[in-house]
Amino acid sequence: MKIVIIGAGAVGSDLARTLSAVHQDVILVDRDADVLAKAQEDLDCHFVHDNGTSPAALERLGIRDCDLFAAVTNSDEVNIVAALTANELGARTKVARVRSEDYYVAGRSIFPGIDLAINPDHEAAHAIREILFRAGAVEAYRFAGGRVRVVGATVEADSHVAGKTLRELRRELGSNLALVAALVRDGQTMIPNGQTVLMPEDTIYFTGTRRLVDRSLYHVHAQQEPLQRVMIVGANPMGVELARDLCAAGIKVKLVDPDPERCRLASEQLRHVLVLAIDPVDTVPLVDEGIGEMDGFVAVGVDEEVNMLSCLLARRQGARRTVCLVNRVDYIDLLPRLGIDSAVSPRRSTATSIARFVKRGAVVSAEALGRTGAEILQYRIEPGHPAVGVPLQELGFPRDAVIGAVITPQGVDTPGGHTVLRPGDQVLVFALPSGLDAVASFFSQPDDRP
Amino acid sequence: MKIRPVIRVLGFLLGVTALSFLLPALASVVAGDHDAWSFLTATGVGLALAGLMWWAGSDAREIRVREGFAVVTFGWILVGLLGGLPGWFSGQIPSYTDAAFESISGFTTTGASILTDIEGRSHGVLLWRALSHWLGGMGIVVLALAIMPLLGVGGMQLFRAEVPGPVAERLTPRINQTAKLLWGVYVLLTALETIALMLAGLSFFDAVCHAMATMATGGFSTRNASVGAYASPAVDWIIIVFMVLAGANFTLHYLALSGKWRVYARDDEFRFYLGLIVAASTLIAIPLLVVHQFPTIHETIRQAVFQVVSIMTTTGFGTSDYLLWPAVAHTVLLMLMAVGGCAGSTGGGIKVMRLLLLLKVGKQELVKLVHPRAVFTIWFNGRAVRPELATNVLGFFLLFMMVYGLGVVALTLGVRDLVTAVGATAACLGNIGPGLGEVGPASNYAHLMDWEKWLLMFFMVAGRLEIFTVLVLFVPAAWRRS
Repeated sequence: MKIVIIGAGAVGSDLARTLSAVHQDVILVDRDADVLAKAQEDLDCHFVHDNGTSPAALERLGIRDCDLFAAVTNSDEVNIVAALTANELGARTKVARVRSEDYYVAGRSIFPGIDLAINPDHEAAHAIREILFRAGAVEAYRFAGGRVRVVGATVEADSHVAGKTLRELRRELGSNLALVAALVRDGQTMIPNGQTVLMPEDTIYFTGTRRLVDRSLYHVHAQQEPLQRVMIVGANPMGVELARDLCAAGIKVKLVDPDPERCRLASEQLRHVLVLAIDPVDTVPLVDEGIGEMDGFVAVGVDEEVNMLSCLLARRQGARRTVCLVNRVDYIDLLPRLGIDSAVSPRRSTATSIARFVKRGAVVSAEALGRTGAEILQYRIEPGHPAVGVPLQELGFPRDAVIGAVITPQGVDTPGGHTVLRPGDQVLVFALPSGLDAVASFFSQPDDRP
Repeated sequence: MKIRPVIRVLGFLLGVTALSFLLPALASVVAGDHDAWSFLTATGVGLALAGLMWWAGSDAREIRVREGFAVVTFGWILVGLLGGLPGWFSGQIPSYTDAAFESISGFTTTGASILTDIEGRSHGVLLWRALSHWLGGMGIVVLALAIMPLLGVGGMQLFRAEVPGPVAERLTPRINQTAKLLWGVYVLLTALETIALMLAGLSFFDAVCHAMATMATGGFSTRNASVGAYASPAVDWIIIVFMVLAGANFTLHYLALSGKWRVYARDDEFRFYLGLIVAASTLIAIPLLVVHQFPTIHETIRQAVFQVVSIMTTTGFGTSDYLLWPAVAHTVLLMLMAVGGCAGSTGGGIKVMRLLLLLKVGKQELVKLVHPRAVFTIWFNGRAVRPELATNVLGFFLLFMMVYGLGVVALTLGVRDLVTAVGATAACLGNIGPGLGEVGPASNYAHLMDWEKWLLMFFMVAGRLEIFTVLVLFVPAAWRRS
């Protein structure tokens, strides 16, 4: 499989690392020789110093027999032009990192030539928002432009649901309980059934519309004080977007960044946010600005060590919830032990979602569920698919996988045994590592089959 | 600076002014007055001068920013001086200083008068006074919205810097088209007011003169007692409404006329402007009610609102002598004199937009004391304002106050008392007209000494042209050949 990646920055390098680990033929292209040299230090792939938007350069790379073309530079425009050029020249699958919302309509890219447009910052900002808002939520994903949410929450020992089976809960709460599609216990992901007993320390994944998921979380968790004050470290696009979102929800937001110029740019975009030019590890001014009274503290700066340190500082001063942006796997595992509540890693999720996209062609979008290898996959049911018109219980759906939600043009349904899929519906599938291949072949179209 | 292109453009402006004398000449003939000849003579003199300057000048396309300042400043001065000729020729205004004062007061839409018996003047002179307002206002609309942004002065440059949005920036990219659109609005509003005033019982002549003086926020009336002479609530309210419109940004009117009514509600400056009017009217109406100045509540409110709007929009019409009101009214009105109308209106003064920005800068400095590391951006109409503009506004405010202070000092050097000096300077620098003390609404500027009149004329031009435009000509670099 031949893969061309344009942009050897952080995202490009991560992607190249992920893909070359499974022995793919990866070519990393960048216009900047210095960036390329830096990537060369710890990557084992082919490097080309060239302009990734130039048709001549792409021809030289042999774009015609390229299976995956990924444009992941910092510039939306460069990525779009590169991907569209590659499309014209005959590359098979085109992926572009597109951050500006202007290029999306209803969550989908406006360019038909680009197979997958990804906006990791945007998704991460949304995930952080969900985590902050939902007491007890530790992970959050959005599908189908936000119509379906998947939220992971930890069951606490004094929680109302601890020690009960899902069937008891269903009887008790009725339609106020969202589908529990997956459960992580002792580092193992499992797909629960009616007999499964919820234990303290379990992470359970609710799936459904936003309201349904919210209502379910309400039962899982003891009441918490509402979110009123949030401090965000990092006046980068993600920090700014998050600040804007939170501010629009009526929360008092303080945005901190050590660089005065970035602060100025941010303050020109955020009317009601207090932007502070403070080094996020400089304790005294942060305490003066009330870091300890924060309901939420989010660190999304470029430097992940600084993010972790500032989260620790916030924790120590008394901030209630801390969310940290880290991309290095070893750090992610470290965070819970440090007392940091949640981690988001957009760059990694970019790399993994592109890699996943390569593996399973028909998928609309995909997310890793926790860090256990399980995945949430979104598929579109095409006309003529064997599953159309057959009730789910008669379908012979793969073991170790479950359909968590059915997205129809009318709304979002919680699937039951009698649910019938129609062409154009989309389904959200939770698959354990052992079920991934079976799910992929179940949904693959005849012409996609090797 | 290239002098010759400037001379040609000035010649052109003089020519247009000279031709505009024909209208009052016609009015004099129709009304049977015998001073039409003086207007025709002035036309001749004006055209001769214009021709000479046109011939002496060179291609006007060489006008750049520096030349622009000279054109605007000298244009206003020369047109004002030429406009003094007819009244002086006919002997209606015996002294040329007085005639020039009246004319410059007209063209700068100030409305400060040296005439004691207005009703005794010919129809030609009365129409000419109103027309000079109206032409001056026409110049201001284009100046404020199309030319000054190019020169980098005036409140409207705020809009130039920003991305085109729903409100305010130049309406079309070309000055010519912008000017025509805004003149269309201006003419339309003048016509509407004329009709409204005629329906309220004014003669056609009075209605036209008052409409022209209102829309230009000038303030010359055809009556000795100004608008108060009609003693008609309907006339008062009509003029209040049109004064408010004239003191608002004309871009808003254009957008509203093209169907976007909501621009008024969305515009920060317009809302603040209305807020100031309401607050000041309340502040004045309450003491008036307490001392029973007027017999009814309605009349009290009408008098208070009229005076507030008249002063704040820098029109200067009067319905009663506010110097007889409680002292709080004087102080409130004096403060309003400095505020003036909105940016992009025919009103003078510091402008509501600048005041709003100054308040925001002040608030920002206060918050900075609490959050010393905070990075702030000033917002206006939902957009971030560039920090240079805050500096520009602060600079303007400083210069305005300095010129104001120097004016007061200069006038008190003579025989004027402090109140008169403050009132006269504020009224002329802010292009209002009636001041305080000896130059209050019931008196006029006739008794001032000649040098005081010339000084006030300079203030009128400086205030009208947003100070910067005039003061920049005192910077030697502006005169150097580029």
